[in-house]
Amino acid sequence: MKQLNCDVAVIGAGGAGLSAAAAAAAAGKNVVVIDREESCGGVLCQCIHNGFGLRYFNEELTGPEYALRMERCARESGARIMLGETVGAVRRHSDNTLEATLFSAANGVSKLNAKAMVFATGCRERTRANIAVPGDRSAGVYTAGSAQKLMNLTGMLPGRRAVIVGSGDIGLIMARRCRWSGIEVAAVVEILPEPSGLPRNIAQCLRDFDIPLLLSHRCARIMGRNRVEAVEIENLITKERFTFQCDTVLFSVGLIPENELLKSMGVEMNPATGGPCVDGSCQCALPGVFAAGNSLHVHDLVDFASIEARRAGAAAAEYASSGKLPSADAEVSCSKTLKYAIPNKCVPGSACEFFFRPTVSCARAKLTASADGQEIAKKMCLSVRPAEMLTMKAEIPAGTAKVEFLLEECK
Amino acid sequence: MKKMICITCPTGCEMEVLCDGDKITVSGNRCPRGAAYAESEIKDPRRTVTAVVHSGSGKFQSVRTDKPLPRPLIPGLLNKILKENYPEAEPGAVIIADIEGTGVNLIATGPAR
Ligand code: SF4
Repeated sequence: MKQLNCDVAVIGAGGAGLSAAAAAAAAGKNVVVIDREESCGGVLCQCIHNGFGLRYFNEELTGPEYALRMERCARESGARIMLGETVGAVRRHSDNTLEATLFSAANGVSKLNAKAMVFATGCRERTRANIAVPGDRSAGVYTAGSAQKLMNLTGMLPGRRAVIVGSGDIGLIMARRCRWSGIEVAAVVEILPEPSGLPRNIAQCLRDFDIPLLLSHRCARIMGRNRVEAVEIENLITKERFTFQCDTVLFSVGLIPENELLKSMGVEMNPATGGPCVDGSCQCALPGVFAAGNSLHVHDLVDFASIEARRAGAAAAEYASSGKLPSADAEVSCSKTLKYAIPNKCVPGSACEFFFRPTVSCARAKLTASADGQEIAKKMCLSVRPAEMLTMKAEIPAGTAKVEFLLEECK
Repeated sequence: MKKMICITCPTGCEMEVLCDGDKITVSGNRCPRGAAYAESEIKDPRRTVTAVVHSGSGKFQSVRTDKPLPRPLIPGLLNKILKENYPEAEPGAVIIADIEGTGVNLIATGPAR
């Protein structure tokens, strides 16, 4: 069986994995990136719309362009990229090195040994089954992302007239993509009283095309003997029901971090994010195991995922050299107005960047960080919404045991 | 007074735009690009267009306009690329130059698949 050794192995060659690989390789490590697809970029390849790269590359790019740039960064830093390889299992040897079993059509089964591993496996979409929509099992029901893949990676159209369930960004982007491809969009239906996607996507993907956005409405039933013929929609406030004729239903109802490998290794998971618990260097509760990107927590922008992954890659390189990282003794917690704070632990006496997902919507809110009860950082946040992540950098004083974050609405 | 969301970056500032004859006053934008967007949105609304084009031999590739295109020209461009085939090109290469004399080009963004 083929055996390959490296310092840092990165699982997943998307916007996070490539960035982690570039950072680890730039630190002089021997880096191998594994991806099951035949090209780099992960989901970026099918995201042909613009809106990527403003923060990371200082330029507005489409998904494929962002992927190509990131791939170039990784290759130029010296990372080796192995495509068409699926990771079946990862285990830990008694000397603490990690071993991944790889499968591919080209090489059969092989082993990859690494001192440190970065898991950047992305996420998958929630489906009709996850939100239990009753009705017929007709053809023409897709997740927004699978319809996007169909249109942008195989050049086919999913149908002629669609209803989009959920107002997440992928659904909004697909509403415009449908209209630009000659597919009618009857409506976008959102169960919550406010949209889940970015305001710019409401403006440029729905308003530009006069596509109705039905807030506080749910998809109650899908009807159609073979192909979808109609969907029944319920107004959750008036309880009134009505139907839309359509042959296609796209679900854009959220993302689930993909962490089957980490779970099988027994890594401690964070129920609030669906990803692993990590410290400030993106290291999981198992030493030498790192996570970054959408498998750690779902990001709004690939730029944030890449920035976070750079930190994971650099830390993995340091771990590969020294066999340990400064111990993260400070526990992080947050108020109920925040769904989560990432990382879950940080190193006292150092600076750390935190990511948050708010649970509340308000025009202005104050975010404060305190270390053992002493305020250490604060900032004002404008137009706070669950759809948008918040970030904060803070210097954690030496000897800190507890870091707490509080988000308070300002009247 | 018109309410408008700036689509220039993901921040999506909610702006209030006041038109007094030719004079346009913008508030709520967090950077100067918001004011420029509001002015263009009132005088000459434009959008960046992204799509895929077919090569005719079963392959296709992703494309975008290299600058925002006047909105009234978008349906024409989309119809044209739906009907015509375009030879495979390297990412970054111009697929259609100077659309309708606007100086806007359609460029390839990804490899042919
Ligand atoms: S005004 Fe500036 S910061 Fe606000 S959305 Fe427009 S470009 Fe972005």
